[in-house]
Amino acid sequence: MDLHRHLDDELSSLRDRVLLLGGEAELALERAMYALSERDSEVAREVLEHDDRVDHLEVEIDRQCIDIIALRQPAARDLRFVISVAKMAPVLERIADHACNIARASIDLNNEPELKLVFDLGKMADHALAMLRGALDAFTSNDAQTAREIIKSDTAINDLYNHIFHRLIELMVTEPATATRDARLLFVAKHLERIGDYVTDICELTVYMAEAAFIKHSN
Amino acid sequence: MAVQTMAPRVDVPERRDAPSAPSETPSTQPKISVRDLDFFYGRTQALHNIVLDIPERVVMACIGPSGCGKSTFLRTLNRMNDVIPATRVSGKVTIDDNDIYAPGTDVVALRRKVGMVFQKSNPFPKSIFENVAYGLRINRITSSKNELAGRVEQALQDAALWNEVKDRLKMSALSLSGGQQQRLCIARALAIRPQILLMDEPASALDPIATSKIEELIFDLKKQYTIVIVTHNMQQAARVSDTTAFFLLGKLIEVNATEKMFTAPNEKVTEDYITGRFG
Repeated sequence: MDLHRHLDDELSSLRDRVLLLGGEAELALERAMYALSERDSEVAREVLEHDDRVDHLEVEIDRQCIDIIALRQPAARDLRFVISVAKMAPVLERIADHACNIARASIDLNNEPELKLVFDLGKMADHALAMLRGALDAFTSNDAQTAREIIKSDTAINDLYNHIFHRLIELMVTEPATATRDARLLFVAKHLERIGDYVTDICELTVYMAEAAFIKHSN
Repeated sequence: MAVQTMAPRVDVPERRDAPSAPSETPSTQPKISVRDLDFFYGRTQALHNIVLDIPERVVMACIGPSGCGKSTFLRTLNRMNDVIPATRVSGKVTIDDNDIYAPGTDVVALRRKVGMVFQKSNPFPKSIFENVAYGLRINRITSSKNELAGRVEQALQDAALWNEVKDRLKMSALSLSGGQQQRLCIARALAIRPQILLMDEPASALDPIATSKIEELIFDLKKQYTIVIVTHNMQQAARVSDTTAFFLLGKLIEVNATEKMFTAPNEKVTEDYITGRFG
C-alpha cells in the first residue's frame, strides 16, 4: 500500500472519530434540554453517565493526532486538518461538559415548580444545536463559507441570552421566591451562550483548515 | 514587444535570528537573480524559463522529485555545468547585479565567490589542516604561515568542527567520520570566504546526529552567507530554509516562504508533492 494511502486512511479514521465526538456532544445537549423541558431527570442522569464516553473519545483523538504528527509528519492541508482536529476535540468535549451542567441543573429544577422561561431557553438551545450541526457539516465538507455564516449567527444566541438574563433578573426582583430557580436557569442560559462561543471556535478552525486563514480574534 | 519577466514574489519571513547590527541587515536587492533561464543537456531541456530571486543571507531550499532539475539549477549558479560536455544555457543569472554568463567572466573567481558542498563528502587524501588550507594556497590568498593557520582555524570554527579536530590537525582527513568529513568540506569551502554556499543534498548520506549538526551549521552560516540547498528531505527543507522552491519536470512551479509552503502552498501540485500524493 502506498504511504499516502496509509495516511489517508488514518486521516479518514480521525475525521470519523471527530464526527462521532461531535455527534455525542450534540446528543448530550439535545437530551439535557429534553430533560429540562420535559422535566425528565432520568434522561438527565443518562447524559451524565454517558459523559465518560465523550472524555474517552477526546483522549483517543488526542493520541491519534500526536501519532500522526510524530509518525507521518503531515504537511499543508493534512497538517492543517490534524491541527484543527487536535484543537477541535477539546472544544467538543467542553460542549458536552456544558450539556452535563445543564443536565445537573435540570435534576435540581425538576424537583421544584416549573418556570415558564424554560421555553425561551429551548429556543436558545435549538439555535445552539443548529449551529453545532451546521459547524460539524461545514467541517466535514471543508466549507469555509458556511463556517463563516455560522460564526455570524452567534449574535442571535447572544441576543437571546441578554433577553433571558434581563427577564430572569426582573423575575428575581419581582418574585423573590423564585430566585433560586431563576439563578439555576441563568446558569443554563450561560451554558448555552458558551456553547455558541465554542461552536464559533469550531468554525474558525474549519476556516483555518480549508483556507489556512487565521480569523480568530479578527472580528 | 519584449515581455518583461517578473520573478515570483516571495514573502521572505522575518529572519529567525535576525542580526541586530545595522551593518548585518540583509539588503533588499536580491543576491542572486535568475531570469528566463533555460538549460539543455544536448537536445534534452532540463530547465525551462526559470525566473527567481534569492535575497541575501537567507537559506533557500530547492525541492522536487528526482530528475526535476533542482541540482542542475544549483549548478547553474556557479557554472559547474560548464564542465559537462554538450550542455547549453540561455537566459540570465546575476549575482550582485553581475551577469555570471557574460563573456569574459572569470569562472574561477566566480567559484571562489560561490562555494559548493556536494552530497558525498570528498576530502582530499591529505591532513585535516591541508584540506582546509588547499583553496587558500592555490589561490594565494594568505601571505604568511600565521595568517594561513588563522584562516584554517576560523573556517573550522565556522564549520563547527574546530573543537573536534584542533588536537589532530595533522591527521588524515579520511580518518574523520562521515559527518565530520562533510563539515570539513564545508570548512574547505568557507576558508576562501565565499558569499554564497551551494549545497547539493549535503546530509543525505549522514546519520540523524550528523545531519542535525549540519542543519545547525546551516542555521548559523546564514548569518553570513546566502545558502541554496538541494534536498530530498522535506522535513530538512522545512527545518533549515527561509524560502523553498519547488521544481517539477524542469520548471519552477512555486517559490514561497517556507512556512507558507509547508502549511498552505499556492499550487495544488506543490501540495500534492509535499503531502506525498504526487504521481
